[in-house]
Amino acid sequence: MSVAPAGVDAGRVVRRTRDVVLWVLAVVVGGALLAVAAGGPPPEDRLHPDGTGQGGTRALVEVLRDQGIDVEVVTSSQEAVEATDDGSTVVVGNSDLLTDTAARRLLEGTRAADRVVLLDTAPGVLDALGLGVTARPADGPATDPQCTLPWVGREDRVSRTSWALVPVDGRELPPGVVGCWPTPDDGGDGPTAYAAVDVPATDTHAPVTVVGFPDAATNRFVTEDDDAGLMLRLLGASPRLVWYHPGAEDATANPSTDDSSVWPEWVGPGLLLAGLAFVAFAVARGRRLGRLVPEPLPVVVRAAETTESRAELYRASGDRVRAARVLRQATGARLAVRLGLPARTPADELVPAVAAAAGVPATEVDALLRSPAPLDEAGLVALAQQLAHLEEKVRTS
Amino acid sequence: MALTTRAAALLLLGLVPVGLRPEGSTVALWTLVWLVLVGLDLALAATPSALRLTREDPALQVRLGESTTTGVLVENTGRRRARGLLRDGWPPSAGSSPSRHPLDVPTGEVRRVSTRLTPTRRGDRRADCVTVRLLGPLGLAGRQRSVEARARLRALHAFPSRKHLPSRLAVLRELDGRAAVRTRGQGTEFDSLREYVDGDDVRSIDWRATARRQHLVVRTWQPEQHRRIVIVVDTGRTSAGRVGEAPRLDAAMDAALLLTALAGHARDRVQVVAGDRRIRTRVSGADRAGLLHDVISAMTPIDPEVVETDWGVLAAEVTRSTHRSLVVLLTPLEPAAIEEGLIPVLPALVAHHRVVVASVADPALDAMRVARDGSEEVWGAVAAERTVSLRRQASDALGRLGVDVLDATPDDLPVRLADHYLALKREGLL
Repeated sequence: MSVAPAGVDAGRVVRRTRDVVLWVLAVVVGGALLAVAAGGPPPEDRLHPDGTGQGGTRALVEVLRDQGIDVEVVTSSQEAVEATDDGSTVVVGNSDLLTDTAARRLLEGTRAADRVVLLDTAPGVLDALGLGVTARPADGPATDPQCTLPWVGREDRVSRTSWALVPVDGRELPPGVVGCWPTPDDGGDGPTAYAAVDVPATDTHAPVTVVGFPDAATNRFVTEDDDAGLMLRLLGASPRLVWYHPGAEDATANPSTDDSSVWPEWVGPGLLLAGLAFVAFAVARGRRLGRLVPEPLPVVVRAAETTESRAELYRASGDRVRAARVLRQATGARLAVRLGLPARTPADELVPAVAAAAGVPATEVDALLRSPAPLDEAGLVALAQQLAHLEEKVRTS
Repeated sequence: MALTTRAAALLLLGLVPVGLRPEGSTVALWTLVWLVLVGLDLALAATPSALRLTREDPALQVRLGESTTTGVLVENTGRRRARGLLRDGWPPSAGSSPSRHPLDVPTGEVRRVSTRLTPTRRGDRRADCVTVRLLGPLGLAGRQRSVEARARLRALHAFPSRKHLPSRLAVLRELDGRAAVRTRGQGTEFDSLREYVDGDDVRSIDWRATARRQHLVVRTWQPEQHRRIVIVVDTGRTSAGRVGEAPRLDAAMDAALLLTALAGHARDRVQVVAGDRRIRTRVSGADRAGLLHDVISAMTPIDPEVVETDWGVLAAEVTRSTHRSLVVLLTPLEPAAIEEGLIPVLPALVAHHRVVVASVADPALDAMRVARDGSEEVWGAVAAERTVSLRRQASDALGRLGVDVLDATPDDLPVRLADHYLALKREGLL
């Protein structure tokens, strides 16, 4: 048994172990970081109550909690309805995934709530709720509130208005509905737009406040202007706040009943016409110019096929003894003919004649033509090549 | 009726009005307009039955590898100008081109549409229908009709070995004594008497004639003539194997044709028989120019059959005449087929005739035999050596029966057979 130099081996082992440990550590730590990152809300998820990014509302929520308000975060309308009781305010944050069904369900289920705040509500959902108010993209900042609501101060200013809220029909808001921060229509014909609208409670829903400046709640802008005060007054009016942030599951559970298509109008008829044109094209190309002309085809068998199959059989059986005999007999017969001997000359006579003709020692020729069969594939290949070589030598001598 | 792609494109053009007025009714309206246009075009197209189609030459003949043209005369007897397409339907291996012709025949006129045919295989090819499609003035739709226009294209055997014929004929003339150097033939048939000239073999002096004429007279001989030669071409399964591009049968036919041409010039009577389980063709004759043509024509439609050759049937054909003949059997040296089929009938043949077996060898076998680079090649070489040795055994068995065996590659076989024939003739062994 040989002993390797200990120092070399030990060093290598230590290095290798250290490498392995470092890699394992890196994978574990990286995985843990990834798990943590994946577990928390994405920082850019807009208006998420736990979002710490610029679009999140974590700052506002923390301040509300410091004020002693119980903030509960839910991601489905079902949960929102269950979490709501007397003395709670429900706020709908990011409404990207809010379907009209979910919104209606929320309104119906939260009749007991103090107030429902729609922080960022797209026109489609707002239309479906039937509040008599719809939204359109805002033109510019609003200046004075010009209204009296508990949560709006006389001098409060908002500058980042995303939605302008307008009456659905006619130029006036429905009776009882209060609009704040009005902006008259530029042309003077259109209705007055508002940055926030307060709809009083009815049989079917609690008081609803629709806000057209969601940016005021975000971490980035909450400190601007009078945003912080407005938001705290609006959301902190009740001891409990249910923050409804609709998720993907919610949208799946409450499929939208909105059937207006996302495709342009001409797509349907266009596809129909294209289909008809395709059928016409198929008919045009499919019509033959006269029938096919049949023709009997000849049998195609290569003459060498039987020999190739024989080779496959030999190979499969691996009978090297027989293979060597065949090769030697063939070479022997050809050499005999070339040297003018009878084709079936015994090896005893053939070997000296071949040795003389090829200029090779007789023992070598004898070994080639008479030694035992090769033991392996390589031996057989070598034998075949040597026999060919011997023939070549006799031919060129 | 037939639509064109232009009609489909017109329908697709309806996307423009649909874009301007995206309604289902626009689609319906456009489709209606389209249908009206297509119907109008169809109604205005010329009537195909008013065209009279005539095949110019219903029996064509071309040597394989060369081209010929076939014509169709189109006469417009209708009242409208006939515009559209014409297709002359031939089987794929007739190699017709172009496959479709534009057609424009004014009223009362005749146009000739010619198709070039380059057959890719030996044999007879029969034309099918001639089809015309006459389009309307808008080119949206057309009327179509197919008319039977029978024709046959005979792709003759290429006979590539005919290039060897002149050199072999020169050898034959030498034998015949007609060459400038009047070497006396070694044949056995008495030809004539002539005066002795220096250099003649004294043994050929005819003493009786010399006594009559008072000067030396020698006998001359000419090579044997009017010998019977029977060429038997095996069209059975072993001839179906392909050597290079063509089946063995084609090479065997090549050899048979060269021998027929040569023996015809030597004034021998040649009979060619081809068959497997039955006699496929039988050609014989004394007219030497006509014979070669007859043999080529008779051989052309014959393809190898995948059946075992019945040598009894073929031998019976040979032994019909009791005259001693040179019998050439063109069959591959496939050991099993030779031993089972041919050898049993050979003794009877050899007893009365001189028999030669000519076989087409496969060059691929030699290539396999010498390729010994790796394990796979060596096993191939072993198999090839075994095949070669089996062929040699078959050949030896035939030799022991008194049969001459020729085994050569497709290119060499016709020449080898011709040379063997000339050698037999020189020695007067026919």
